[in-house]
Amino acid sequence: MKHWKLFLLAAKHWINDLRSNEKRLLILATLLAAVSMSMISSFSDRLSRTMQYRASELIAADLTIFSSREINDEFIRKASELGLSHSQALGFSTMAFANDQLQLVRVRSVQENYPLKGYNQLANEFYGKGEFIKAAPAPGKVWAEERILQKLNANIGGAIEIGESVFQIERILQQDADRSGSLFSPFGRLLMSRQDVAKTGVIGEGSRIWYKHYYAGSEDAVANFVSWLEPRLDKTQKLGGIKDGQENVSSALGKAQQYLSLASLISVLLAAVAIALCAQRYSERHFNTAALLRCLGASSEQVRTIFVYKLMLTALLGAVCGALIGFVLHFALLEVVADILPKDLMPARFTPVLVSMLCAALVLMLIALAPILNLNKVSPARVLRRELKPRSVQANVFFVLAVTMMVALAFLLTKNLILSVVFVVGLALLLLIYGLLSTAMLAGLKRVQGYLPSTLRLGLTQLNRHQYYARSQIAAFAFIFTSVALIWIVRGDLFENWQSQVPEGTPNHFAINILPDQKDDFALAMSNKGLATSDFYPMVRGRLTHINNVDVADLFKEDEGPEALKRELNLTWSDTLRLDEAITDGDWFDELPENSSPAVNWISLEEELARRLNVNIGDDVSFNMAGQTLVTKIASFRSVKWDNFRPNFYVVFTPEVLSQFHHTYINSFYLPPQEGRWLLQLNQQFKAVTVIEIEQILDQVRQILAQTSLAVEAILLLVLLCAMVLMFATLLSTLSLRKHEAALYRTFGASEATIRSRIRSEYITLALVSSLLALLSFEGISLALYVIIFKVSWQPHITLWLMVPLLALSSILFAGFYANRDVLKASPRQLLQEIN
Amino acid sequence: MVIIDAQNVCKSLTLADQSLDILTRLNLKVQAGESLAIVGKSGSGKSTLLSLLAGLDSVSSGHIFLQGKDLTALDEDGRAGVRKDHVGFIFQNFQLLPHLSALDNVMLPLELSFASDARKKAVGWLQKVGLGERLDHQPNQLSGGEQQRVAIARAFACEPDILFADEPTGNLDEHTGQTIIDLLFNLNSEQSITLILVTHDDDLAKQCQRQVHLEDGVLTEQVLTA
Repeated sequence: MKHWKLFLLAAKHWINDLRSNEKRLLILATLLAAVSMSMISSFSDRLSRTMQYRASELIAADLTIFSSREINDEFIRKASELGLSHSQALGFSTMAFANDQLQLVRVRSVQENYPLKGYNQLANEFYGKGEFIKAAPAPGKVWAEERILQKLNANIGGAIEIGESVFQIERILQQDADRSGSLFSPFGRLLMSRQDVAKTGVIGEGSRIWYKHYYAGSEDAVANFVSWLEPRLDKTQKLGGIKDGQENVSSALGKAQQYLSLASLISVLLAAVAIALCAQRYSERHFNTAALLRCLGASSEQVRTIFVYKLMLTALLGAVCGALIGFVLHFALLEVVADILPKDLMPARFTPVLVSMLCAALVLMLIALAPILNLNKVSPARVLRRELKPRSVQANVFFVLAVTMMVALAFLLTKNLILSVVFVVGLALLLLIYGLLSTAMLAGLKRVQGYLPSTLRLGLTQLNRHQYYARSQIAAFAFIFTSVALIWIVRGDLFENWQSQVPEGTPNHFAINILPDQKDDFALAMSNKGLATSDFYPMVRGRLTHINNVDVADLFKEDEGPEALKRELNLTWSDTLRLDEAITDGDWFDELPENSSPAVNWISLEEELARRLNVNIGDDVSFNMAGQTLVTKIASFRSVKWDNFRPNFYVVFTPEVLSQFHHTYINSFYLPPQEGRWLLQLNQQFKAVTVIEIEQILDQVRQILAQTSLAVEAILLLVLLCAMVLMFATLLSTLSLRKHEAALYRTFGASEATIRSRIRSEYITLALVSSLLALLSFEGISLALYVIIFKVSWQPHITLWLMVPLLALSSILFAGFYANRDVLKASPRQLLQEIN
Repeated sequence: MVIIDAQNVCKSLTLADQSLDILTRLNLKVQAGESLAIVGKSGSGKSTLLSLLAGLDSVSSGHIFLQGKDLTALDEDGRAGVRKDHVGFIFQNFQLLPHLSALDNVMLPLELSFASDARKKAVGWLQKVGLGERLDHQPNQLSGGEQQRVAIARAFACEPDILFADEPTGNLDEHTGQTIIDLLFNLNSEQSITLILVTHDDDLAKQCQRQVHLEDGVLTEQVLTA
């Protein structure tokens, strides 16, 4: 009951208190934290869900289960209970016959509701314009890739024999809706109806077949299904998500999401700094109220309770309103960038709003609690003697709590604990260092004051006069500018990374099966056409059979080993290491001892495959190539950039070892899309060569990257806006002090111009000192990152040395004069009255 | 009946390495219902003495008994409890909370002691000090004299046994000051409350039954004026 009465008392004071600048600022800072969190998280939530949805078009579903055995019906029942749609496919490789020709094909037999997501791209003539169709082949009809038809001399409308049945070739399959699977398989893909499989009679005991289940539905249903499914999957069943679609898309998505989270985290940290400044000022302004309450007989617990209730109400108002405003604003933001966003955005959810609400409230409570709790330590004698300051509470405890909370928040946003800890602890340390450095800088500059221009001299005098506030403002501004510089540079690196992934002229075709004696002619044909081609990479197909003379079938139980063991691998040779690859362990061939006896067949293995095979440098690995066995020794592990749209290989041999085996060449080239029909001519000349077109994949990747880049730009603007508004809040926190000073100056006869010039000098100095501090610390951080972590050469960021001071000067002067407009216009009497 | 008994009270402050004695072995007894003026020059320690007697501050040595309770044996919260039950205050700068109305300011101490009829009592006291029409006005909408009336209403509303006043007319002009003094003394005699005030104003001091003179932290004389 007593608590309820105290709450009512606190609520009454809180409402009356709403007129005070400090309270408004505290609410504003909390509101801004909530607005930015809610707006960014609602925006990025929808965007990332949409991007995921788009990416799910690459695997024809939201979720897939792949297995070499029939998949349990229980999964389908559960999926249907959860409202998920379902489709299943059965795949196998078999020989196809037509026109007395024989060709191995990869068959995917699908149900009539395939694909659940995305489209099959079909054409009615060779290299013709493709149509996007959401349908599956009807029974009796098949859709086959161009290369199959070319090999079989078949055409649309013709017949193709698979097993014991004959099918009609209805259309050319340019792109299967499910892009997963090896792009560089030498055999083409063919889609047929699931109902026709039995008729072919090719499936029998011991057949190498695979099953794939496709599921699609609402996000919640998919998430529920995954959590139900995971404990029930056996080792033969593999869950697939959008990551299986295309490496480059998922890595771009991942980076974009990390960036959005980082941006959101920085905006919250900016707000947190503003809250800390406002709370400090708010608590100082309330020393007298606390002293009076103590004087009137309130116990320290009562004082504490009243202020904590008031803080809770502030948190509630700021967080609830802010999160709701942020939610509404995210619609406006979407409207602004509507042109660049996908049209079919996923609907908004309320979860990010609730999380933002809670986070903003917690940020305020933890950061403002220490100064507010100071209030119950105020001596009642302060009502008689103003100079008495409260005994400080254990601010360290609250600092640790606040840092812990920020780590939790960072984890929530980035889902990466180590990154979160490093980020938050690093920034907390940075703030402490800023505090110390700003003191040192002010003291240092004071010594050389005489050599500075008059504006800076005057500004420095002003700042030194209010060292306490100047220090915290310099630290806050330096923090803001460091954050903005950080987010700007990360954005640049991100864009560079994306642009390098699919630059203009990225090869959009691969030619495989180029025979060695046709290699020169093929190169000539390409150059006659004026096409630039990549290197010709030799390719030998072989199966990995033994590790240290033990059969891999004994090392790995059926279905447990890496996928690479179940099929023939494309092997290559090279005496030089490719520029985009790196040795992660062991030595490249040119650093190995020469003249070893007996001769060693060295190989370099891709690091991820090596990990899954559990092999070490120096281990023996045997391959079977067309019946011939070759024992090799691992010389090195290599990192391979799988998302570079170039032929990549798990195993690289030395030229002298592999060149003695039957080999073909693979090469990639860029052919303008409108010249697709030239490929027919090429095919006539080189009948054995298979050309694989990946223009559609490139297009989709480019489109997703472009959308992601623009979203990142929009978020950057938002963070800048947030920084600006919070900077404004920070400047306002010293407003009453400035009013007092201005009132006295005006009373003593100073003109408006004099006051304006004092304020300008102070802000110019503040901007320059804080941007210098920000740049020094930013360069320090980047130097440490480049040299210690990335181990690359470091260069100062010259553009930032121009940009940051300019940004600091313009933003601080603009915000400063806007905040001080009353100070300049009001009469001294008005100002003094306001202060009292 | 002795309501306040200060025995050998010393108060010193440590500034840098030096110890500064503000009050030295001070003894003072105040009877219930008595009105006492503490006078002296600026810096003589008057306000310090007032804050010690009211339990707003702690002594360096000695004892102060208020209504028989040893304030020096109590902690900060214990002294706050004594203030809530027995003490009222009037300050030179009024000490009204700027964001609260006149009525809310008067209700504040009543609400802190969870009084059930806080509003009624507060309205009654504001009417008594002549501000019945200004209940919802905020301090910045009131003149200095009116603000001090609100402070007086707040002090009396809790029905304290002792009222401490620190330069109650210090911020007011002569005429307004006199009105406030009249109001204060009328209510004091009406309510039979012990009044201890600190003042520079000889006229005000003379209206008290007793004056004590403080010089350099020492109570040098006690003058009976009535």
